[in-house]
Amino acid sequence: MTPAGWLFMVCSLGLVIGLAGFCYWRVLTHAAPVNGADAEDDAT
Amino acid sequence: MARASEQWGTRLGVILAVAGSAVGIGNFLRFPGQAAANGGGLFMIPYFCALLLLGIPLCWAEWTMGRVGSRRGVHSCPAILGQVGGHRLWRYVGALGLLMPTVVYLYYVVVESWCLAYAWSYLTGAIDLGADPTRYAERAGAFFSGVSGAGADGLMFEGRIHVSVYFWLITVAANFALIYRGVSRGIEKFCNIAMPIMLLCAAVVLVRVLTLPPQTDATGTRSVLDGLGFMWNPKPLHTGESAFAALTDPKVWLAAAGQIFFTLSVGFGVIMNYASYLKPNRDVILAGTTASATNEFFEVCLGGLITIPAAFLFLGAAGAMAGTFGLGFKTLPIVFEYMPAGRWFGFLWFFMLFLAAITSSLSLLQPVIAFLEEALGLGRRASVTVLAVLTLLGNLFVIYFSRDLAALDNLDFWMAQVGILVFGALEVLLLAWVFGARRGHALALDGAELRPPRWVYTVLMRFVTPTVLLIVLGAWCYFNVGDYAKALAEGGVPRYAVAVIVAVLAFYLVLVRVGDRRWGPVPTVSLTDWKRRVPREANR
Repeated sequence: MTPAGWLFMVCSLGLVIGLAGFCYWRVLTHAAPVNGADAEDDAT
Repeated sequence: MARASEQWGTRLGVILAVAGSAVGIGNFLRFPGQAAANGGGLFMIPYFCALLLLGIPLCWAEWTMGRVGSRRGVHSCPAILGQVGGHRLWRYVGALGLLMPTVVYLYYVVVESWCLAYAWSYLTGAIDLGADPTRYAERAGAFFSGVSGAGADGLMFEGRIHVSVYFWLITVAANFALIYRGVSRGIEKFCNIAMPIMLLCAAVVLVRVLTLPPQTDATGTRSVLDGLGFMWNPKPLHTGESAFAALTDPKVWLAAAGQIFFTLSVGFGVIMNYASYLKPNRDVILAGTTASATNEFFEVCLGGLITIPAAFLFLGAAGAMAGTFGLGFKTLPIVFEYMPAGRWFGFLWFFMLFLAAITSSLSLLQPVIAFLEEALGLGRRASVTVLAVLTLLGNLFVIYFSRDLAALDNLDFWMAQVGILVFGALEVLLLAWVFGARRGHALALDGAELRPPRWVYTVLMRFVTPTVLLIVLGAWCYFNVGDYAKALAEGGVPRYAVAVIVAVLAFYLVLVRVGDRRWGPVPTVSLTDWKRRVPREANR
């Protein structure tokens, strides 16, 4: 495994894990602003 | 029209269902092979470019069109495209959104049944590659031939019904039993269970692979790090070239674009169908992005670390570059044979592939079920029965012409390589140019938890994505059509495959005609109408 290989692997995994982590954090912790309507229901 | 009760139960449910549709066999078998063969780690540069310029915009476009469906109470591709395009002609274009999932299902469910057969064989110890390692490859190939019938046409029905046929029937029955239960009670509940199990199975296999000791054979000693290096180290495509020369080869960019399309399930019409079951004002952008990110996690973080490194560790470069089916069904059984407790890891692996496949095949059936319900006014039972009969006949074509997997390869060529590019281009052109990019953006923003910049719709979707798609399609034709035309001229299975596709398309065009009469003219809807607030009750 060359340094360039490590770089590509770590950057790719980091990018994907970061994106997935951010998305699930938003989905699981934020209630949707449904035009002010039943926002609490949207958190499910 | 579809039953009013057809809606997703929870937001996480729809995300897992769409992610389940996208995560399939290709994530674990196709992606690693494509990356290793197209520059190693360098492949990730065109891969992520394709994700940003093609995958995400098309994904958001399909989710936005799905929202149109949810607001107008329609769920099938022809009905949704008619509404988006504002003209009944688009309903006929929507027949492509039925053709694609149907034909892909015809062969995909057969591959799915192989995964089940392998999982069962590992569980019961029926896979035996013998005690002589020099004969592992021969025995693994023979086992695959036995399961797939790749040795000769009609092998599955020669003399007696082959055991693989029973696995196929079980797989078909499981698909239709789940689809019969409906969107929320069938697909969503199953994906809510299957996705975490897939993650667990893949994580167990990943830990096993990453902790394997170095292996020694006649060619030398190899460690897991060497396997990871084979997958991720930048490498030239041709001897003597610089590794970075791979980035100047159009085939590498073409492979990356094809992989992104294939893996995200865009250009099939299935995301549009799934998104149409959301409640009218629910977020589509965050949900779409999360589903795509989940798919990428399975593909890059799990697929990219398991398959090729394990194959390289035990079998070297030749074993790791065996093609999608070769890698999955011939090479990996040899790897499990070498691996301590390989029988159980083999079971976990193929059971995970089976779950990945069934969550995808369900998404191929649902768009057609929705169409049969809407266009013909059929109930769930009748629509499931019609589709089951239609697809069983198509499956027989794939199973009968099994020599060298010819029928499967030819259908895959037209659908998963050509069709998704064509239909994806039509979708994005429809949304950005006919429906209107600003209008689409405004519609996507309604209830959005992630707010995409307007230029994603007005610049990317209008100009960049269609241009890139047309370039990819043109380049693809340049590299492939000549060879295929020769095969087509020789007759046989390539011609039969085209005949099957044309027959299915003609069947759907006739049904769209019936639906068109039933639905009547497309009502004119202004932007204000699209954006008007949906009554609170509609979101309940």
